Amino acid sequence: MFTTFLRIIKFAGQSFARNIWLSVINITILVLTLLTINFLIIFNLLTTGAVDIIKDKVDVSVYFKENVADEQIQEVQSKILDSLYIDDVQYISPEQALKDFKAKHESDQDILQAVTELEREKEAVFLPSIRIKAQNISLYGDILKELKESQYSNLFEIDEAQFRDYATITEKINTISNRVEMVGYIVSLIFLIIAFMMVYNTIKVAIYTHQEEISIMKLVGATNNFIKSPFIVEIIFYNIIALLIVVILFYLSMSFVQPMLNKLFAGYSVSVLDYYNSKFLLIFLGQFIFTVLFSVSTSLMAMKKYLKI
Amino acid sequence: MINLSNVSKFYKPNVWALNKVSLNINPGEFVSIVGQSGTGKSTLAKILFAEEAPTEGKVEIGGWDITNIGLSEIPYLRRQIGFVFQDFRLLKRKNIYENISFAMETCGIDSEQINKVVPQILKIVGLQNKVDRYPHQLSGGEQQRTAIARALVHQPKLLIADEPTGNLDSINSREIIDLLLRINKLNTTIILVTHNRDVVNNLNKRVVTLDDGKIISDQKNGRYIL
Repeated sequence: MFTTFLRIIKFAGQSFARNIWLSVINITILVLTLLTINFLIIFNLLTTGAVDIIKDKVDVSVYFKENVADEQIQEVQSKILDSLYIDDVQYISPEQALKDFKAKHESDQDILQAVTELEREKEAVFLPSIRIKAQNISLYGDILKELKESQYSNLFEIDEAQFRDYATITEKINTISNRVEMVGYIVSLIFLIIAFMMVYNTIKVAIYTHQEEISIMKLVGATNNFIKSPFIVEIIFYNIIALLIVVILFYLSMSFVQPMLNKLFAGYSVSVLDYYNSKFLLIFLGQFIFTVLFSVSTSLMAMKKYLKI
Repeated sequence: MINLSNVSKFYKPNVWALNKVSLNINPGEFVSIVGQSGTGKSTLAKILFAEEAPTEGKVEIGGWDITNIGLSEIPYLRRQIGFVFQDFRLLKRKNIYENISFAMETCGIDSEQINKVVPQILKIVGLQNKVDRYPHQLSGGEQQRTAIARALVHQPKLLIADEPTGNLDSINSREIIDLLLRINKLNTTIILVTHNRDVVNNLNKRVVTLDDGKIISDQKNGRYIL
């Protein structure tokens, strides 16, 4: 059994070497297919990361009018918290708002000077507010509607400008990412079709170049599986080599790309490298199994047509 | 050993290559199947080798009914039958030793056994001093002897030679027939398919004559009668 296995490997290796250029082209196509699939994974990871970051920044602020009492503010806050759509509600006192504003504009002396003037004249610079975060970005529309229709709506004003800006950006990112994903799927499909044709024709050529051996094998009583197996093993060789090349290319390119991504997503955990490291087996073994199943099925189809045994 | 009863083979559109052929060959016999071209000799050989299935009738080899043999069983039948062709069918890129060992390798025989058997077979066919030669470096007779050596690797009980002297001159033909006779003496049944009158007449063995797909003569110590 082991002897037979070794001989199948040997014959597959001989066939690989005999049609070396065909082997190189096959491996190249498989590499391109796998690279496209990985590009899609990485792109999806980055757009999801970017959208999550934006979603994290989205909120709606409710500014209470000057004469609203603290008890009323607390009542509104507790009512809002009761809503099913709300993730978090944060009360921001006028003092806290002033502090945050100063920190944000610490380098702009003109603004700071104006604020100081207002403080000196004992005028209220900021009003109390609450910042509302929804469980999901799509729920902000309902929250805004609820707030506008509530019995307390005369007590506050809603600042939804920030939410509108971020919602627009998120929508744009989603649109672009959907388009790029669609292009990626089409490119993957094209490469899969090319891979199918390449593998199919490789088997056809391999059967043709091995015609003599095959006829002798049949003559001397080699089993059908023994005759077919080297072709299958040769295709598996292609897949192993293609996967190794893709893994090497991935880690090489990531050594340049990941530092750039770290700068781009500073302060957020969007790491392609960490993602691949944590799911290395799942990603690459999954891709290997997929391409092996795909190319072996293609080989079997070609053998059924051209290998008469 | 071999039992054919009412075997016919039809090819489209309207050719009966064999027509109700019944034949019995005993173990250890040397039988020449003769006839003009297109009389069904090779078809008969192909049916015995399970390369073709009969349209009608029953074929038994060593008690094994191979009339409707399954695809997966054919390799195991062929390991019990040696087959030699007119065109030798040797692998050009392999030397004599490799050509013979290849036949054993593809059937899963271990290297130790191959290294033991191949030199013995090369000795039987008289090529023990030419193991490293490639087919193009051999005469036609030597190439045919290599093909016979390859057919013997599984120590078959039956050896079918389809026009083995067809591409050879008379001296080489004589050598090949002598080799087949020696193999026959080792109790291997030989079926020689030929239309070479001299070869058949010199053998003085059983001769089955086919004409138009039918057996027209079956002589114990026969001659070429057509």
